[in-house]
Amino acid sequence: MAGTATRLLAGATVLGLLCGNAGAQSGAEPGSDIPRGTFGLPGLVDMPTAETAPEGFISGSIFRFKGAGRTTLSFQVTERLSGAFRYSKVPGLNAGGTDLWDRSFDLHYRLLDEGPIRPAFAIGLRDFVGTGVYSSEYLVATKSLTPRLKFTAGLGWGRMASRGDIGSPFGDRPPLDFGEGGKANTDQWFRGPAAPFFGVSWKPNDRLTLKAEYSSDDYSREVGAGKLEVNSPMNFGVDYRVKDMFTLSAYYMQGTELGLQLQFDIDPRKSPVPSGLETAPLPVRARPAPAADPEGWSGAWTSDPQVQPGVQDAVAKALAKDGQELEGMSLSATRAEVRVRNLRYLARPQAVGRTARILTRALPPSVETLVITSMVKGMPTSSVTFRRSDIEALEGDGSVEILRRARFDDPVAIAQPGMVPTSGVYPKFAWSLSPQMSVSLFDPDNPLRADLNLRLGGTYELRPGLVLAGSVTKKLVGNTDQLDQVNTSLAPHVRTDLPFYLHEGDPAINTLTMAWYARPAENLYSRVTVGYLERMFGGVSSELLWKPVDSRLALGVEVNYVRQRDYDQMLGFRDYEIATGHASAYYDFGKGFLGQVDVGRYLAGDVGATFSLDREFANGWKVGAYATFTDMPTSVFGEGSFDKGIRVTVPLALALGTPTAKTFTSTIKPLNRDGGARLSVDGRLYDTIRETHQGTMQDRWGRFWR
Amino acid sequence: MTGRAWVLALICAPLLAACGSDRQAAEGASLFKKIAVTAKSGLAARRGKGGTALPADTEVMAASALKTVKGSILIAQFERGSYTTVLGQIGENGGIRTYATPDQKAILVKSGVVVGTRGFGDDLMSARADDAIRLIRSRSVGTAKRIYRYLDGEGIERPLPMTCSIAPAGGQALAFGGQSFATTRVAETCVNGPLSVDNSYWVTGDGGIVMSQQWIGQAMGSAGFQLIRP
Repeated sequence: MAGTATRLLAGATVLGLLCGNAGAQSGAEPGSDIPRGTFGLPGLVDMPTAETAPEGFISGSIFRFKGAGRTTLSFQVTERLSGAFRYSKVPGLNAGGTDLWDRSFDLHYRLLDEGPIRPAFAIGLRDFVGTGVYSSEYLVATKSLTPRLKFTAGLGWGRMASRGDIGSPFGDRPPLDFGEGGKANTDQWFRGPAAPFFGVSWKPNDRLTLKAEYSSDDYSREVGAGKLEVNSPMNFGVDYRVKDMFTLSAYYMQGTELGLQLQFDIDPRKSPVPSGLETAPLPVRARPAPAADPEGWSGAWTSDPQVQPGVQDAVAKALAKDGQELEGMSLSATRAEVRVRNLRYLARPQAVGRTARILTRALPPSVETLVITSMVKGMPTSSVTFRRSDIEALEGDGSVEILRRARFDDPVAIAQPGMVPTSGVYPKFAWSLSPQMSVSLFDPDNPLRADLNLRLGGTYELRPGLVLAGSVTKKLVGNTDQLDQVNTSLAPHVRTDLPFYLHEGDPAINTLTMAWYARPAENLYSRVTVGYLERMFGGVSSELLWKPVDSRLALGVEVNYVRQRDYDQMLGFRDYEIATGHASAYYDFGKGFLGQVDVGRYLAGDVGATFSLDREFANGWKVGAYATFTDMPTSVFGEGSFDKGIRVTVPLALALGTPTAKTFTSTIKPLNRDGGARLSVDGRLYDTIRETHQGTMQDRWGRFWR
Repeated sequence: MTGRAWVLALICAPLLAACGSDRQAAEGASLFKKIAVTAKSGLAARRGKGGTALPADTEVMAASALKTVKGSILIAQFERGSYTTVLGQIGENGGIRTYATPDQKAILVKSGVVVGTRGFGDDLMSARADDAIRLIRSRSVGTAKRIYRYLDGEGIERPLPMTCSIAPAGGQALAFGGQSFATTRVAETCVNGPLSVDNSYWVTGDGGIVMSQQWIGQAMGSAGFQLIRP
């Protein structure tokens, strides 16, 4: 399998294109120049503008005014598309006149860029899957008269046409089919009355932005509930950029109220500390001329039985000092293969590059072919083959040069006899004691609850691929046990009993499993996990994955038979059992976009599919969203109608400046319901092996010579 | 040379650091240490702002390095953080020498011209400078293209092409590290758009660069180098 050529060329082109502008690395943070409105997306005060943040920016904003609040997390998905998730407190709008806690999603798309004369145009959907309290659609244009002075005008529908409408250009707006909420209100979009809005923003200096707008939202529902007074259609705002990352805003709204907002912007491409503070790699050692070492070059050393053990031992020691572990090595007169487990580098190419340099220092000169095989959970998952002369010749060159000459293979396909396991690697025991946070969001009584736990975890690897693992947690402090212990879910309580688990599971056996990872054949990976798989379920989980090393596509099947665990999370079980499983397709679209579709039967017995899209940056940042649609009726599912969520992965290396493979992932689900719930088992194969495969390796290849 | 000799060579590599027996624990401990150090250096940097960091006595450094270090020795004085360090050569491949500091940062040098750094943070990954090197060593007038390569914040390698004008700028006698040299100063100005940087090299009659002031990158700024032992 030689998938090198085509994808390599792609890499080279990218580097070529970027030649011109690399000089402009420093300068002001452009993201903070995008003024955000009170809905967390580019805007004036309540009204949007046609601007967008720089691609990849992650932003958050917290807005408060007169008993109301909006907390928004937004992500610039592509250069043109922005997405936002929001949690709002709307005073007085709940049944019975209490405050409404509402989750909403927005999309904003820049249709046209600004030209010399033409303004920029954007289209947007505000609150398009929630319960609809903010539901509106808009078309908006923004024109910069000078770089510091921008005018905006637009047309709004829905809530954004509650003041001063000019009629209904696209027909009547049907009443909101509220149901359980959580569905896209497609039949309402751009229907009903439309109303104009406009505004201006002016930036007298780099930190300050002044804004004024005529708003087409009259807050009539809040006014109707007696929670707000509105005297004016004009809103005013001041943004002040406190630091590169933070912006503070103050507003004077509806002629009556003051509002405040704190906003932060994160550029995942920018590291808060200098990157690359790890110790320097060992340099390549060039071989002596054949005349200077005829014996080494002849390969006669292969007859000395002490050479391989000696070389293997030295390589193992050098790798150990580099945060890597040599699991096995084969050595012939012209070829060496090392099987290496990487414990330190998030960017696998850095691990491979350092291994290659160590090999040039240890191998006799006649060895020309270097095969570096990544080991993950005892499985060989990818082999990168180099000519030693290339490593010697290209050490001082751009990393793309060595990438062009590297070859990726499935280790199973190119396996040669003579692999000698490094003695003393197995069995392997490791343990860890670490603090752990668990956070409960969106409970109307207390929107933020958290526990700080102490987690003791251990793994014991009996032999390659066979892993005994367990973890226990003990709460140190927290208040999640105060969650209401009532469960009115009409579906089997596969997830909604969470408060009971939180209340009774202290201390808890989080997981206790025996897992077996293997390579049954070329391009195939398998996993069988038995035991207490997750907080709420135990049983058997098995998985088979097909993923060629150079393929963008992967296919998998997972079959589980599980039983619900007791609330105390000790060894007992409740009487709910289910066979659950999925067929999955994974696709790497390029530019960091990863898609996944899982079709199958969920924990509550409902049948359906989960669609996920993640944007992964080469440095390990990852932002994604997923939605699950099943045959569970919305009346049974309850509030939210279907399961959905967003997730963010942050690499710890970014905060340290030195490499560590550790990352933190949090998933934010607006609601925790029983429909569309998947088993949460550790070590799913795709994410376990993907980083060692050609696609991700090429994305991160810049670190090869680091 | 047999395989065992190669093994020996590897073990003797001076860069290798000690590490704990329990990998997990060691990794954890080093993380905490890292955070502490990062915090401390942040403090120091703030305190040092506008302060009066004394230039280290490079002559004392050179004398002690000449006694303790074998092989080629370089002293480097960095603009950023204004600190001075001794570097010893630990390898050579394809005309590029690798010099390492006691704390295992490295500078890669080709015929006296810096073509890479490691471990300083936001490092120069590699550089193509052969044409410039030829002009500098022959103390000639001319222009040369250079390519500097860095990793951006995402870890993707980005080339920075520069056009460099090189010209000799008079003779100068130097004395350091117990030696004296008759040199020609060669000045180089490299430009890419609004970015313009200056380098200086003090070149001996045989084309050796014994002292230099070289721009390394936007993050690292410039550094001065003295070749204490060639």
